[in-house]
Amino acid sequence: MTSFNEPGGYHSPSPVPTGNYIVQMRSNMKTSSAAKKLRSLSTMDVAVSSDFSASADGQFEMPQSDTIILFEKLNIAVINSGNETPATAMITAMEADADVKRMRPEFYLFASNMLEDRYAAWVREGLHILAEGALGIGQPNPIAVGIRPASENSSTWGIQAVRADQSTYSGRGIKIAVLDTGFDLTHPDFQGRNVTARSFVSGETVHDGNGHGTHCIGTAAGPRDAEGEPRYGVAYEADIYAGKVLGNNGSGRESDIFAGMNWAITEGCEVISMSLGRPTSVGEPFDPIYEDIGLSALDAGCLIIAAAGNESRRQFNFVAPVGSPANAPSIMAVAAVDEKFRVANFSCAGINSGGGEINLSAPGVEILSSYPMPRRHGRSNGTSMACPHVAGVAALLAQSDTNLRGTALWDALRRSAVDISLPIRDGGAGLVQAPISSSPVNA
Amino acid sequence: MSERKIVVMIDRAKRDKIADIVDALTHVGMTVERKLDSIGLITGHADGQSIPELECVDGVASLRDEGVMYAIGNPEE
Repeated sequence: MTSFNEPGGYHSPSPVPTGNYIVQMRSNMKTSSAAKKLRSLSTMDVAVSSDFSASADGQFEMPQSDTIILFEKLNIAVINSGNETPATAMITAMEADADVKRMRPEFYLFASNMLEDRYAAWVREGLHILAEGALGIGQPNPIAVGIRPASENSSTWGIQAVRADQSTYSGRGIKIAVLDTGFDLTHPDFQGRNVTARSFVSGETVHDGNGHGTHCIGTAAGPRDAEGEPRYGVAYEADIYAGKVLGNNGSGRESDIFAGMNWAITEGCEVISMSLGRPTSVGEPFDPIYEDIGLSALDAGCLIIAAAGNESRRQFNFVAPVGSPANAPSIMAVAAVDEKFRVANFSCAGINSGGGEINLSAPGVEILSSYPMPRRHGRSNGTSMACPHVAGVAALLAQSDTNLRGTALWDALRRSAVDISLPIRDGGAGLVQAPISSSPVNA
Repeated sequence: MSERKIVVMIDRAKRDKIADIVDALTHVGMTVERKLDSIGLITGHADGQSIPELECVDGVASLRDEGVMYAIGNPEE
């Protein structure tokens, strides 16, 4: 599998384990039995949360490190090992025990490291785990619609899933801006296309020395006929505006990003695709600057679409909130699904309200697209790959009806979505679908 | 105090006066790098000491330090 960290070595910041572990005990287990079991499985003290809940001044008093704290209302324990990693033998023994339903590392969720916040986080996570168990969230989703592709002979699974291969539209006459790590202007799949490219990164040409930007551009606007490969581009005749706002190392100054957004709007782009961002904390509001830009863009007939973020680790039941700028209400946030239409393990979710919701889902696992020469093509995973699928479909919709601009285009995308049985928190309105002539979307 | 990279958001009602606001910010000590008319932002840098004065310039809706964004890279699975 293609890994973008090869050339430049970047990652969006990943969840950082605290060193502690969260242990979910068997349901309906008595507190005394749970405490006894935890004592038998470890050499650490076991404290029950009600025994040390608050001091006279209302402050939560934390127990010493090397203590297991059992939250009796939740049947969840936290192995509070301080900065030390708990002994592997103890973790293994707990994982194997029949009274332990699940366990996973604890991750830092908050910028603040205040102890009260930690306590609140533990309680919140415990409640979240209980809710997941009750609602069945996190279980594999049945395939809701029978459109799973049998093969990638002629088009990638992503192109088929969004129905671009059935669309009579190509994105002709529509300008899509992809603000990212640049573009390989020499790529043979894009010769003869209308490409406008500009670098906003000081000291770097528009050439994509990373790979991320060229991959995203390929998905949004790659060719219909890619020699030797299935079709991987959605809007294969759209005009491409490649704005380099992130350096070859994969990170970028916000002033360069703002400059790229300003450029795309000034150039009259109908769609901006941004597979970039930063993680947010639980409870963090959106940044008013991005919201203001999103509103200015919509007023100008331009829709900004952003990747929701890759910080979740659902295999450990860790679900992270939608990042910034995708969490701005006027910017569309896109989650990633795999070819069975299950939400991707890494895909961020609508945990924060006020813009932090997922708006749409799109293919984001094992996505084949263009890669800078000499490599030519590669596969990758991420909400970064889902975002340009939506941007490409947006271009097809914009071509289908000149009234579909700005908020009208947003509404048309939302209406296009098919239900894939994902919770709204994970998948928003559903899987984005390209317009085919027999199904007018602006009804 | 040291130089800080800053982002200034302009009042929606005063965006037609963005050139005047650039002049005013420059006068108070900001080095303006970019004037972004379509989105109503001005970016540049200034000494930390001049921030309170810059915030008071007529037409400035908000001012904050510039941050960093990342390509949403391959998740480690």
